[in-house]
Amino acid sequence: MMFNELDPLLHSQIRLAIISILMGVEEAQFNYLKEKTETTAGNLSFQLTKLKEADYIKVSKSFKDNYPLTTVRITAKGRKAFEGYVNAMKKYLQL
Amino acid sequence: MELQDKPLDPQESLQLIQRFISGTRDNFRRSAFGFIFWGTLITVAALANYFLLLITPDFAWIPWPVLTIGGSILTYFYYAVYAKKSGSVSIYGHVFKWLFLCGGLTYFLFIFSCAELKISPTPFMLGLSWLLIVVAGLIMRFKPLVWGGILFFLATIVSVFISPTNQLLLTAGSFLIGYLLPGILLVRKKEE
Repeated sequence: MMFNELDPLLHSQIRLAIISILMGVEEAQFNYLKEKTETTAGNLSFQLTKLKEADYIKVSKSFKDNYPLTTVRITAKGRKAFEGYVNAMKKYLQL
Repeated sequence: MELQDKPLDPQESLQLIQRFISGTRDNFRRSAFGFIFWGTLITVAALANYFLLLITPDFAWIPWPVLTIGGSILTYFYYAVYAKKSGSVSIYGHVFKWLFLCGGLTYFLFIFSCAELKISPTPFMLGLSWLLIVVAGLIMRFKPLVWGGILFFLATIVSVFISPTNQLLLTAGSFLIGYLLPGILLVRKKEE
């Protein structure tokens, strides 16, 4: 297997970090992801949109104390893609 | 280290996954508060009940409603504030929230039923505690809690053969060793 055959959506630092965080939580707020990934709000929004378009994550928008609140959680498809990515990685590294 | 939107090599990928997954995995240790707080509360309530029986038997039950209702309100606010601050709900947090919320309501059901049947609720309370603690310990893969759960299992059997007054001492001892102590060890593990 060639390394560049890996899921291109997950094969980027920020998107892989987002999915890795979401694997360990039930849900995460936008600001939490921004703080953890140490990226800008604009870039994070862009990456979340890409993951959302692939149905890897579900994004919910609501209001809390009159401020908009964006909450993100991983979908079953996203979970499966992450597991596939890790397995492919292990295979490639012969772990 | 700021992340870039660039492809990764295999080693970088695994390191990144490890870094972010382990960053969220230890969130379950926030539940140490619950074990320390409720371990102390139930130990104090059981001992207070025991000593009040010697002084004023008619009102010896009072520590239970006062401490458990007050404790429930404080626990709710603690976790509500914590969840708001942290910005995420861990899978452990989600599981524990429902496990202990349903467990708490079952304690109430047992107390209500036993009061109606005029029997001691202690064996049922200790039995339910064994289930909650050992499941929590197995989910967290934290051995002191599993051992704590096993202690409650044994205490449940013992409680059937002793007087209701001595059951209070057994309850205090079980919560001190099987609930409070693992909570303290969990905090120490967190500090390490």
